Amino acid sequence: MASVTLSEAEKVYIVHGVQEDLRVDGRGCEDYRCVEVETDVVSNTSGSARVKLGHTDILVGVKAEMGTPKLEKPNEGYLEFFVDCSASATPEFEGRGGDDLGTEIANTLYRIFNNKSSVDLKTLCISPREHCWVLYVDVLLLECGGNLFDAISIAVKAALFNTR
Amino acid sequence: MAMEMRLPVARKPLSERLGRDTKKHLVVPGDTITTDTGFMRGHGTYMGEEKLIASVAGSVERVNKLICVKALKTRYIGEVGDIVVGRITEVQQKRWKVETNSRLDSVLLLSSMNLPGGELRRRSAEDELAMRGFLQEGDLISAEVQAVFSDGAVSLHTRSLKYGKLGQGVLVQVSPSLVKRQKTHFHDLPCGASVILGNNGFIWIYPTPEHKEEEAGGFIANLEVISRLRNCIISLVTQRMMLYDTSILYCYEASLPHQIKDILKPEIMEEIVMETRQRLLEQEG
Repeated sequence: MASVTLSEAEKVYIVHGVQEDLRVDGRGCEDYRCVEVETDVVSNTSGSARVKLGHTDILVGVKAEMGTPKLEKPNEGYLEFFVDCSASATPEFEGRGGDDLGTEIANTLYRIFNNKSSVDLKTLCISPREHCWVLYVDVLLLECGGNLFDAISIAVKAALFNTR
Repeated sequence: MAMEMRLPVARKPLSERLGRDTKKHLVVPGDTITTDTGFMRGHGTYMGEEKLIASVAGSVERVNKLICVKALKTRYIGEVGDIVVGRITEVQQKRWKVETNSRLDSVLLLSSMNLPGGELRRRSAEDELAMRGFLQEGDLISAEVQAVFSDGAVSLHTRSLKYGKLGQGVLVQVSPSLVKRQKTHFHDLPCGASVILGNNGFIWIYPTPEHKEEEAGGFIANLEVISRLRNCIISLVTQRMMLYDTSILYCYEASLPHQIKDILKPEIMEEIVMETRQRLLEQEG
């Protein structure tokens, strides 16, 4: 996130407000901003989604390819995540600055989508121990405006839903 | 903890909702303004192939024989006498560098600043060393434009009691072209908050400094009023309406039946601004 300089008095004001459960824009501490979800935005993918949450803009593309199942889970397919923090998202991501955040988000995504209730990996299996579908999920951060984890997980879910 | 999801909607063009009779002549870069060669070229135009062509996107202004194009989305261009709200970015030897959303950082000289202990004191070396004690990096100030240098940089002064460092409140950044030029830019709204409409597009909303004893009790009510005003200003800006005290006040009153956080939703924003627009038209004619 591009850092914003604030005066001391502004900081005191904001802290007072948060103590009364009132943010500067009138939301409570636990209220979300409006989310805009759009699917099927990228034509040459199997599924895609774009999510806008305030100033945060995420684009997710899913490509399905054939592969061999992992040895410890021969009856299931799997997902591969890659998160790209583009340099235009925020000045801190210039050059290689966004790589650390990208790997951290990718690792979190692996943990989130590892359980049975999000994606049923058995449906991705074609023939056990030989062939299975591998879903390559690419996440692109177009603009970084806060709350990345929520926006990215919504976008990935929408893109997987859109995958045919 | 409910979340609201919505699908993106194409933006409606503003013209079909405006219904104004005076149509401004809007141009985009490359548009021909006129083929008459008798006019003098002003800012934002250039001569090409015997025609006057616009180089910026904005409205055409004509003063006798001078044609210029006033850009709608620009950085702040300083003029002497303007009131601006700025943020200190640097503390230099005898001056402060102030960010005012213009092409170059504005300058606030130490000699242009009110010092405690009288106005006519000569600035000494101790004053220079104590500069950071008055204004630090990140502080907000309200000031007036004293002079404009030839490169466009603006020199500010705070030589009046109404200018100076700003205390608690909220800053809203809008485009400078949306702030209407008026006699005064310091407004005390009847809802309990005051607003400074800087000509550079920085708008400062703060609780009206009333009797000091009431501060603790009235704090919560003030916070809500200020958040509501901030959301109203943002909705006026999204609908490209001019900002002045009457329009902000009408918008605030139109938003009272809604919750503060709902004002930012597109449909409620449109509704409120439409009501504001109607009231303003009624008031004029």
